[in-house]
This record gives sequence, structure tokens and C-alpha cells, in this order.
Amino acid sequence: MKTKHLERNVFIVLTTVPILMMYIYFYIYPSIRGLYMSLFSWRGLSLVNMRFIGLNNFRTLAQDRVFHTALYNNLYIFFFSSIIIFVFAFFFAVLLSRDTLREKHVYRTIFFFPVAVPMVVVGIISLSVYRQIGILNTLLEMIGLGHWQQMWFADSSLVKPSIISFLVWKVFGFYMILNLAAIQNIPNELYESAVIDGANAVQQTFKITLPLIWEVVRIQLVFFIISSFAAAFELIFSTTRGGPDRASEVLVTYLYESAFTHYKFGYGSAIGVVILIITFLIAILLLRTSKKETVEL
Amino acid sequence: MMQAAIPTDKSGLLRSKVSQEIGRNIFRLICIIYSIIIIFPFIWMFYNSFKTNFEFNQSIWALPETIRWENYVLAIDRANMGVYMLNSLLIVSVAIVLNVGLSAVISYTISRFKFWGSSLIYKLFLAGILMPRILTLIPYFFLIHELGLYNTRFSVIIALVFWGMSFAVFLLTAFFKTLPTALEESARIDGASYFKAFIYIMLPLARSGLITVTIFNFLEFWSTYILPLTLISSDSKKPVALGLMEFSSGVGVRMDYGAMFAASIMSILPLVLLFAFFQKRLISGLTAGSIKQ
Repeated sequence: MKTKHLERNVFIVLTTVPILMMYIYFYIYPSIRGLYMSLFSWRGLSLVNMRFIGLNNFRTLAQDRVFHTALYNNLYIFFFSSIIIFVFAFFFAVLLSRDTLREKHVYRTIFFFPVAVPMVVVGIISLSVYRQIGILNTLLEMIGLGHWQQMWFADSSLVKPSIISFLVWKVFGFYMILNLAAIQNIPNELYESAVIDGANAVQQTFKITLPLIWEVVRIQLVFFIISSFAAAFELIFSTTRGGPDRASEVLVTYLYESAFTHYKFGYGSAIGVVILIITFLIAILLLRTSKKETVEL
Repeated sequence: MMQAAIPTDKSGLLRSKVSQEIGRNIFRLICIIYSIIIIFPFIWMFYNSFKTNFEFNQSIWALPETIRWENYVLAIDRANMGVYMLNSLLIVSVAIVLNVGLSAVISYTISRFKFWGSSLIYKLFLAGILMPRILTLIPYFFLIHELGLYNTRFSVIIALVFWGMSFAVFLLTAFFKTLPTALEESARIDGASYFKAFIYIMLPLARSGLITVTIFNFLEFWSTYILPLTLISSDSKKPVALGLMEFSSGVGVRMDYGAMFAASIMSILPLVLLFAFFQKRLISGLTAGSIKQ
């Protein structure tokens, strides 16, 4: 019995401790060190002249016009892309879960495909579409809407919607599939009894489907916010680089510029801390406020 | 009265059927248009990858006059795409093996054994999901310098393995919890050690979960370019996504559109193949991991 117990403990220690230590050393430790670095000021690759400045980086951020623009743009992109993605993901999932279209599996596969496409390639596609002599402008010309032609990526009022369109293009299918799976998990009897009670399709969707998958949608939204910081950055960095005139600057592009172009690593870390705080606030907000509305099966 | 009521009712039913049919076809039309918006750019890139710059600038819609592979040769030769592809294969395969292997081991233990700290370990991995990677990147950049690993492919591999671990552990612990314990217990009774029970019984059982994580890792690791952008400086060590990014941002100056499209097509070829073979599993894996939480 004793050797058995020993064997169990040896197994547990050997299979957790080394991996956990590497995970902490290469991921958790740098993450925490990032929080700490946001309290310092230094330039360049040497850490020797790190100077403790307390919360001064954050005070500077509060005054920094570019940071304000980046924050505004970031929230703008989050707000509109999440609404578009989640409203359409829900309705497409509802409609594709029903037996309305025979070829629905084809659409599922096609809509999901951009998930597999690297953001750099999405960037190249979006540049091809929105270039001055690009797919969209020449198409508008062909169908006689030449006066609608725009400099999509070079116009500061159009660049954010243009970026959003390709963020949606890239991830819409991912969330649609998640919604679809959640909907298919709802027992059929619920709909059958609703039909007996005389509920029509619209009522079924809003009274049964939406409340029952709300829990899943909430978690998806949190995941979307977390992953969108990086996704928006990768798309913008390979297309507009924050331009024109900072109109598509987001927090991570500004962080990257501060840290790796101007070597203001402490300042960059402070922006990272702001991103962390925003992530937490949005996550808490989403997970708290809507808790009551969920229905237990 | 009765007789008059029945036909009107019937016509009402008929009208709702007709409107249903119209609604269905409107939805079908929307689906078809959106499908075209997704697929067309790839077709367009593909046939434009055979055009010379002169042809491309003449018309971005016209088909190429002849199929010429020059742009592909150019992409491999001058834009180094061949080297980038090999680097990506190396980085991605090593990172996947390490990430999936280590994640499987620790997920198994924390999902099957109750011990002091087991739930704490799980929470540490969960917290890792919330962490913005970009905040980790700055200190990691210094850590890599301190370890003397700057400008090595290994620096990227380590980050992919351990930064991606939180999500892999999250999925795999959920997966291990769904597996029956009976087989493992009987193996234990037959005298198999914990290691043997894990390797010979549990890993094969967990195969579909491991494959799901592997595919998602492949998609993510193949596409990563911010990490190598900060950690690798020599051109000969860069992976494909970074090479493509730098190539495309230089295109505006050199105007090598055909070669850029050729490079794009090459870079997504492995992903398209992966998607074609595994899209069912991708979708089912995604749904299995997300629902039972």
C-alpha cells in the first residue's frame, strides 16, 4: 500500500512540477515582470539604467493624445465588430441549424474557412480589395457606381469600417460554428412543446434558443475580446500600420511602436497593463451583468 | 358560414407557404453571396499569381494570357519563400510536438488525480488565457536576450509551446474528464505502472482531443508573425508568415504583385490541405471543447 502511494506521488510530481516550472518561467514570470516594468523608465536594450518612476508612465499615458486615439479606435473596432459578428453569427446559426436549406453543410464549411487563413494573407487580400485600383473600386466602376469609389484604407473616416469588415470576414465563421453547436445541443422536445403551445419561429428563436445559448455566447464574447486585441493588431500591422494619421492606430500597434520602434519599453509595458485592465473589466462586465438571464436546463 | 371560412383559411396557409419559400430563397441568396465574398479573393489571387506586373496593371480582372510559373520561381528564389517555408515547418512541428506532449501529460494528471494544488495549477493555466500576450512579449524579449537565445528559432518555439499551453490544457483537461476511468483502473490492477497506464491506455483514448489541439496549433503557429518579428533578425531563420508580411510591405515599392500572390498561395497551401482533410474534425473538436464547460 505504501509503495503504491509513493508511486502515485512520484507520478504526480514528475508529470506536473517540471512542466509547471517551465510554464511559469517562460510565461507567467514574463507576464508579471511586464506589470513590474510598467513602473520603470529606460530606453534601449540594457536594463542597467532602469529607473523607478512609479505611476508616471500612466500619468503620461493619460495626457498622451495618440494613446487616446488608439484607445478610442480600439473600443470602436471592438464595439462594432462584436455586434456585427455576434448578431449575424446567431441568426446564421439559427437559420443553418434548421432544415431550411439542403446545402447548409456547404455554407458551414465555406464560412468557417477563413479561420484557417493567416492574418498576413487576410491583410494582403484586404489590400487587394481596398487598393485605389483594387477589387472593390473596379467592381463599382463596372456596375456603374463609379462615383462610390473611395480610398478605403487611406481615408481616415473609412479605414476603421474597412478594417472591421475584414476582421468580421476572418472570424465570423468561427463564432457561427460555436453558436450552431450550442443550438444543436438544445433538446428538440423544447421546440416541440413550444409548437404545441402555438409559438412561431420568431418566438421560438427569442424565447428558447437565445436564452438557452446565452451562457455560451457570453463566454464567446469574452474570448472574442481577448483574442481581438491581437487579431486587430496583426491585421492593421500588415495593412495600414495605424494610418492614415493614426486613424487606425489601436492599443497594441501603439504599444509595439513605443516598445520596439522607439525602445520605450516601460511605456510600452504600461500600455500592456491598460490592455490587461480593459480585458478584465470587459470580462467581469460580461460575466456579471448577464448572469441572471441564463436558464438552467 | 363554415364553408366560407375554410377556403380563406386555406389561402392564408398557402400564402404563408409562399412567403416561407421566398424567405428561404432570400437566405440562400445571402449565403451564396457571402460564400463568393469568401472564396473569390483566393481564386483572384490564384489566377493573378500567373500574371506579369504589366498584365496585372493593365487589368486586375483579366485572366492571364499564358500560365507562367515565373512568379513562383521568383517568390522562392528572390523572396526566399522556400527557406521561410522550411523554417516554418521546423518551428511548427517542434512546437506542436512539445506543446501537445507536455500539455497532455499535465492535463492528464490534474484532471485525474486530486492532490494538493491540483486545482491551483488548473487556475494558473486558466489565468494564462486572459493574459494579453503582447504584455508578455516585452519582458520575454529581454528574457530571451538574457538567455542568449535572441535570433534563434528556438526562442519562437519556446513561446509558442508555453504561451499556447494554457489553451491546450484548458481543452485537454475538459477532454480527459469525459473519458471513462474503467480501462485505466483495470490496467492498474493488472500491475501496469501509472506511466504505462497513461501512455498505453489514456493517450490512445485521448487521440481525437490531441488531434484537435494539434490542428488548431498548426493553424495558429503557422500564422504567427509578431513573435518572430521581435525575436528573429536574420532573414535565413524567418518563418513564412513573417517573410510574407515583409515581402508584401515592400511590394508597394517594387510592385511585384504577381510574386506576392504566388507567395501567398504557397503559404496557405498547407493550411488548405489541412482544412480539406480535417474540417469535420476541426468543427466537431471546437464544439466538443466549448460546450461542456
